Amino acid sequence: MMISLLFIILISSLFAIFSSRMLIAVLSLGIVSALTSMLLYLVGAKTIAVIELSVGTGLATVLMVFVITMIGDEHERPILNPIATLFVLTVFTVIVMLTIPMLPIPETAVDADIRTMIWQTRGLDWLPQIALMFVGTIGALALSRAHRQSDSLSMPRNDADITDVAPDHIFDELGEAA
Amino acid sequence: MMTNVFVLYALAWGLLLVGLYGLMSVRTLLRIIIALQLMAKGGFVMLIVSGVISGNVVLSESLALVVISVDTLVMVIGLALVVHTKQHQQTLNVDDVIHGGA
Repeated sequence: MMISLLFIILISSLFAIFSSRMLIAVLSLGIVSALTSMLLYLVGAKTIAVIELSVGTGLATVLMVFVITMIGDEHERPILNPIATLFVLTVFTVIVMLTIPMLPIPETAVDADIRTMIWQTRGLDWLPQIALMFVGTIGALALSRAHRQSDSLSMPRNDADITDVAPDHIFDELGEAA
Repeated sequence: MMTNVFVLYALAWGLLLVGLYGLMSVRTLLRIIIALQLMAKGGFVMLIVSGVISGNVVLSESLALVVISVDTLVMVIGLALVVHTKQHQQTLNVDDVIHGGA
């Protein structure tokens, strides 16, 4: 089961890179996240499996589909890069085949509580994370504000744009004056 | 248990290399973000593998949590940049963006 899951995940990840439609690529990425979280659960990393399922499959997919609906689906057929293909295949074969036999035998799991680890032992990790979240939010807001400002500063280019920009009462007043 | 670790280890390298291949070959901004996401997934799966091998899964889970949150943040900023670029330059192709729009 684990090996079949591995192959499905790798094929889905290749779909995410090679599919011509962006929506299919994003959905393939969601499948990769869901199946990866299943594998993590089977290995015993249950907390991170749940978080990956909710963030990777849920939030990331929803955000990307939302962006695709905003900007429109673009078709792109990625060109097969022979040098990159050779490099990736060689590295995968060499590393996986040579290092898997050298992997040490897993040690007995330490009995530790995830809540103690996250909130006490590694509690300091939350400070930079909170700072990063603020920076990210401010960055995304700044980008959207820059877009709105540049829109309001841009001049109308033809009569149709002027009609769109001018309020309706101006046209009513012009009609009465005539 | 050993087979599970092997599979997870191969998966981590596979995701890292597929993401790396994507970064080397695709030219669309949104697809570059997808490739980055794949690489980040490979990274935190490797963290979990190291945790399983050392017997301290909980520690590697807490580190992977940091990776996931930072990766999501990178994705959000990247998507905001994608929308910004599309509305300003009318294209998502990296070559067209570098040369000043479609």
